[in-house]
Amino acid sequence: MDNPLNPEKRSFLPILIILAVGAFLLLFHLDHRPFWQDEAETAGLAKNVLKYGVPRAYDGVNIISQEQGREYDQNFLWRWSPWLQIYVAAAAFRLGGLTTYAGRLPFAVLGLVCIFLVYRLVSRNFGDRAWALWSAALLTVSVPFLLYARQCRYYSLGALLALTSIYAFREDWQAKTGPALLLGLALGLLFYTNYLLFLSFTGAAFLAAVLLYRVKMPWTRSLTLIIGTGIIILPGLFLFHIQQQATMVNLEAIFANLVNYSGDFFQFLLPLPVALYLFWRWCRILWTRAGFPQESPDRFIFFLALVVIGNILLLTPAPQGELRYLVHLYPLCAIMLGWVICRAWRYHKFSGALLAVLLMGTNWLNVLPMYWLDLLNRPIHNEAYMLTYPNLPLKLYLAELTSPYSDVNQNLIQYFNGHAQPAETILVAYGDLPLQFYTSCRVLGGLQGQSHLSRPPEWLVPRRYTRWNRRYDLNPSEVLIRQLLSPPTDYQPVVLGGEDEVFGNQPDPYFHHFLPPMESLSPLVIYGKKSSSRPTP
Amino acid sequence: MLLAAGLLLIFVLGFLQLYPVQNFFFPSNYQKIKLKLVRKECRKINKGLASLQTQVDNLTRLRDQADQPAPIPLNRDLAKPASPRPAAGARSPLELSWQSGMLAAKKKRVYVSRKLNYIEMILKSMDQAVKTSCSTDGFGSSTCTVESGKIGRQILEIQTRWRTYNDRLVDLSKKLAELEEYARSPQAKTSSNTKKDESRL
Repeated sequence: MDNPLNPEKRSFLPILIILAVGAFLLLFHLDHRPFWQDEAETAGLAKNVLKYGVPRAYDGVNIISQEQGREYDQNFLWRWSPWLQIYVAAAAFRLGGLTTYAGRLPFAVLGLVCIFLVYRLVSRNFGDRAWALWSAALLTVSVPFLLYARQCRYYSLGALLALTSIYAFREDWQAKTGPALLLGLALGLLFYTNYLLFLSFTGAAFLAAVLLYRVKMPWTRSLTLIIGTGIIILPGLFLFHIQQQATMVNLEAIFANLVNYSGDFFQFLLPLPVALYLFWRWCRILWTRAGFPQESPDRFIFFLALVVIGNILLLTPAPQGELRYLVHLYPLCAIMLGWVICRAWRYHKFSGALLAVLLMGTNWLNVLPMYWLDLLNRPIHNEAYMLTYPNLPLKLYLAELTSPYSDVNQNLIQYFNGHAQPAETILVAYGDLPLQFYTSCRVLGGLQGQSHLSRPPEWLVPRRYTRWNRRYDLNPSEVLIRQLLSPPTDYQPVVLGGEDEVFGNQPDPYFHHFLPPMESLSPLVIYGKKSSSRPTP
Repeated sequence: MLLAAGLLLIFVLGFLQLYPVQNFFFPSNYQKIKLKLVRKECRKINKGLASLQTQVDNLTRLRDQADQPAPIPLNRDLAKPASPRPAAGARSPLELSWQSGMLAAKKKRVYVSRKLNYIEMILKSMDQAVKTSCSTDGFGSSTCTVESGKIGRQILEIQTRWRTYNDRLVDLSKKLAELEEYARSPQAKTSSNTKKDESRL
């Protein structure tokens, strides 16, 4: 029998415990809430992959679109966002059936792999187990990262591929074929995950590497790698409507996006005081000493920081400045924070312990300094139990998992599955895609654009939060619902339990409710056609 | 020691600002924070409305310019083009400024409208919360704490401001809709075509 205190086994114990905790946090009650609109887009397309072999936006009944039909070609082939996430979800549906759990499972597992890879990257390159463990532990308890990794979307896939590319870069890719292939493949697949991530991450990482690791970048090998990655992404350049989306690049929004991303970064990724400490330290190193030693952790942390900053700067011209585009930076920030904790611990044990408690158990270091400096972005519709207020994020997260509440999508799905006939039509102002996935009705409206109705729909779902299109006009579904309800002679209102939330299970901290909303701002009301005005079958 | 002191300060203040702790020691603090946020939003709305007003004025001026026949100097030699000939289908500068101005105005309208929408719901909810904490006699009653009464009065004051903002938005939206309607009308098209023809002289 093996000795349980065998030092070799014991050395694996902490990371095994962290991974076990991570597995619980990522996989427990993975289907506690239904897909929200964006997840349902991926899930709906994955469902169609099982039927047609390719992601088609139309399945003969419903159309998947959130951009007024601009996402697909004349054959309804999806040409808007890359396909990798869709095929990952399709594979999961093939194995696990068309369920919420199956759809989210592969992405949650990839999130777990991220945690392990953070540990592996640090321990293998720097041999510092404490730093490696703190980094892995910080990523494990990072609630925004957990929320994003539990989505049927590309977020954890993007994070893993970005991390893998850094891992491969730190291996001997200059001489060995394996790491070079891994590096090229990770970057190529990152393009097929989300090309915005690819462009921002690759650009920033390349510049940071040239600046800090130039001696480790032989010209021939680097050029081969660039050409190889280019060959991988070439078909995608033609397949997806990148040109069409490039027209949405808004130079006027650069400053606003920079402010948004910086705010989000300090509020949800790396606290401002830690960033200031790192800045002060690097200034000291750069101006008072001879610079960073080639293989020092300091140089690597500076490299990661440059990747993060460059990534944010390259993202700013994109039309929407949202936290979702920074999710792949969470593992890098966890490594930076783990290193800071270790430094603090070695400098002053009590401070190190306190810093660890603050970073792992609270969001106070993120929120309070920003609040004092009047830099905190706290939308008016946010409540006390959200991450824009001082909280214990893990406690909120566990409360959500252990006693989930029925969100807006859940309430609608439950109602229509119980009351609507399969052939009936639902016209909805927003949230059409979850209804398409979970019910057997024909669902129109949302952000699809013009709805072609041969007869008035049996059900109307107006939503409290009005949606406008990219031209700042009311969405056609919104207009149509208002027309049909003025006056609502043919329809009768049905008040459903629960709140008419903006999104449902949206992971963005500005919209994610861990607990049912504290204040009822607007109840969910739908309209059903009166039986007298329904056509007799 | 400085590091430890700073972290301890964050720890203590963070703990005191946890909602259950704050609600226990300072029950009206959360409402005050909310009101502060609402006031901040009101300032943004006011700025947004002012900027929308400017944008609508600019569009109106552009429309008036388009309606007037373009003055052509009598001594101008019509055989020579005054400026390079625009490409077929190219839009005149007037049209371009009209379209960008219209888009910017609509964007601002959506921005203000969203904020007003949120504030309306939040004020309603806060008002109800305060009213339930006070008696039906009103804010002056003895059952109503001084703090709640003060918050209630502030809510009323912001609600009045909200109505003013909303009226201004409705008025500007109407003007914007008229301008949009004008752009779609045949008269505008004729005027725009005349302009194009003139620019091709």
